[in-house]
Amino acid sequence: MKLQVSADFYKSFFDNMIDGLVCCRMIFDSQNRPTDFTCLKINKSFEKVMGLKNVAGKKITELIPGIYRSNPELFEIYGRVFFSGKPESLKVNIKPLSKWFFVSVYNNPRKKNFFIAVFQDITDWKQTEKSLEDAKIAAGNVLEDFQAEKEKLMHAKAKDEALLDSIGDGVIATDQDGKIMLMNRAAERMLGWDTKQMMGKLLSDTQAILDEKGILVPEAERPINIVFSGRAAPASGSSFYFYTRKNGTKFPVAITVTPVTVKSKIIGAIEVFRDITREKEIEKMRMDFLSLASHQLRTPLSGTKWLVETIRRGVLGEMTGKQEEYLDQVYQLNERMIQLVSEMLSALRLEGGAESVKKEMVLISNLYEDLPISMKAAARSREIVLYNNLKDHNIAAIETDREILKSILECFISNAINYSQSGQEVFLGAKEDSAGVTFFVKDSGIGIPKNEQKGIFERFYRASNARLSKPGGSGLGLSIARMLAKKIGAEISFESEENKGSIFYLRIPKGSNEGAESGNNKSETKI
Amino acid sequence: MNHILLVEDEDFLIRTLEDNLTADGYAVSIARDGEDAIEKIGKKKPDIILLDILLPKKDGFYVLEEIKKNPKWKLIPVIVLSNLGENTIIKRAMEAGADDYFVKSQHPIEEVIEKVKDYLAGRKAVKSSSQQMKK
Repeated sequence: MKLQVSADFYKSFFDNMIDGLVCCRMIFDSQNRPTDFTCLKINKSFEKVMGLKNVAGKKITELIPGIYRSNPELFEIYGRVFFSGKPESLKVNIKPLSKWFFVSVYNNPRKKNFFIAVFQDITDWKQTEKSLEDAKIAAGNVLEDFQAEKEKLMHAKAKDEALLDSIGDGVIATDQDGKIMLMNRAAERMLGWDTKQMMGKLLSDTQAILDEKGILVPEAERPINIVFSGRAAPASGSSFYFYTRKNGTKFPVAITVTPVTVKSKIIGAIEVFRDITREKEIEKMRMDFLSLASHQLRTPLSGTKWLVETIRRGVLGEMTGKQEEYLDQVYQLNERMIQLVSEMLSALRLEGGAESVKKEMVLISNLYEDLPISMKAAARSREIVLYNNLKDHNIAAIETDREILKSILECFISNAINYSQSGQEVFLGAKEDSAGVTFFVKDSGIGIPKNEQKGIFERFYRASNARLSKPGGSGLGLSIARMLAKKIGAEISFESEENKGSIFYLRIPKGSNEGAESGNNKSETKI
Repeated sequence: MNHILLVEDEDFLIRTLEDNLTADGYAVSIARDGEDAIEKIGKKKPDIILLDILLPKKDGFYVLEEIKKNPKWKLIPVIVLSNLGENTIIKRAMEAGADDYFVKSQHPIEEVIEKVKDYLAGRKAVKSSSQQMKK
């Protein structure tokens, strides 16, 4: 009775267990190596677990073709258990079935050549394990990438810091409220504050800023606040400021501020400032030298000029014709020298950027009257007819620097006079359109040979025919005119043909506040 | 006869101006430095002053200021004759009260003399380019 209960119990237990159970008979080859086995008995779950049908009585190699090749370990372990009698277990991937199993193998001591195997499907578990493994690898990779990025960032930061510290200019970075976030060593050195003391403060908390005249700049007009307010910051070089050090002393600085924007929203600013004490000293030395040089050079020249003029006026009595002729030569040479000195000095001045540019409304119609009498006299004495067509531009005015505009026109006109022949005509005129005014001076003189036109704006360059016709020229006029034009944002161009004449243009772009269109020059007024 | 005070330290300029002005019938007295100029104006008030800027002892700016702050002198026309050509200097002189400014090498002596005649005749209509620049 006891045994009966026990047999029923085990049958019921085996039939209801989830794992697959199989009782097999081993098949050996001639050398006693396990090569196959026959499935004799199975429980209910076995076929389901294995995904096989009609298993009973069949060889495993029939049921799962290729298993001997794909899972030789199964055959080995069965053989081992068979011979040793010790149960063993293993995890195995039966590739032909695409499934993972946990297999426990027992031999049946009561029946020779038989063994029992329990198959537990661990495919899902294996997959989870694999996913976990994959996730671990992925996490590892991410961590590795993260470490690499961190390292890269650290390198970049060190590089940036080294770069910032090696810059001679002061660099201060602020947030959008103008609070200091970063200062480089040069800024610390120049201002006398260290970053820790400045961090989180407004620039104005520690730094008074004065304008060129030494007047305190109001908070809203500080370059950094100009940038925050969305206005265009003054271009560096056009103006300078004074910064005060921690100890209260002042020094001149050129300041550039760049807003830091993210999606067109200002999130901060970088201020770069340079101590320009040395530049200011050099500029002053240069100006002092120029001033002295121009005075010292002009004094004997003006003396000679007036002495000769006095003799020519006849104040000291009459001269013979020959004496007068010689004296005229002396006078012309001296005038040449005066012109040369004046041009060289203005070229030097312009190169130093010493002369400031004014913005004023200039009436075009009045320009000619302001041109030097000596120039008009030169035209008369050379019997060149000068036509002023600017007179009719009584509406048109242009915003520019009057003196610079005049100097450029003077250069054009005196060239036109110098390189024309007696009886020829020179026209001074202007054309207007909505975008600007173009002045022009036209002559029918010697012109510029085609292959020499390229060089005419070079300093001291003179075209071959110009050297022949007027040996005294300096070759500076047009180079100065071009520098002047650049200063007022204007452009010089020309058209010229040898022996036919030249026309020089000065194009000044107009601002928005210019007068209405004026008619083009209709009548010509002979002067 | 109109009396002209010429404040100048260069002999050849003194000579040439003096010769021309005398020939045109003016009485010319000479001061060779700023202090001398003030002293001479004090002794005999001139009808017009031709003034150099760079002078020994006290310079032309000093002389200009002294003239313009003295109620008895401030209406005397002052023409500056200098070889200093920078705009800043010219502007400074005009603001200090100079009536005209000539950069010597850039103007014929005839033009200076004409200007003197204009002032003495009470005609101020003709302005030099320096004066227009001031505007």
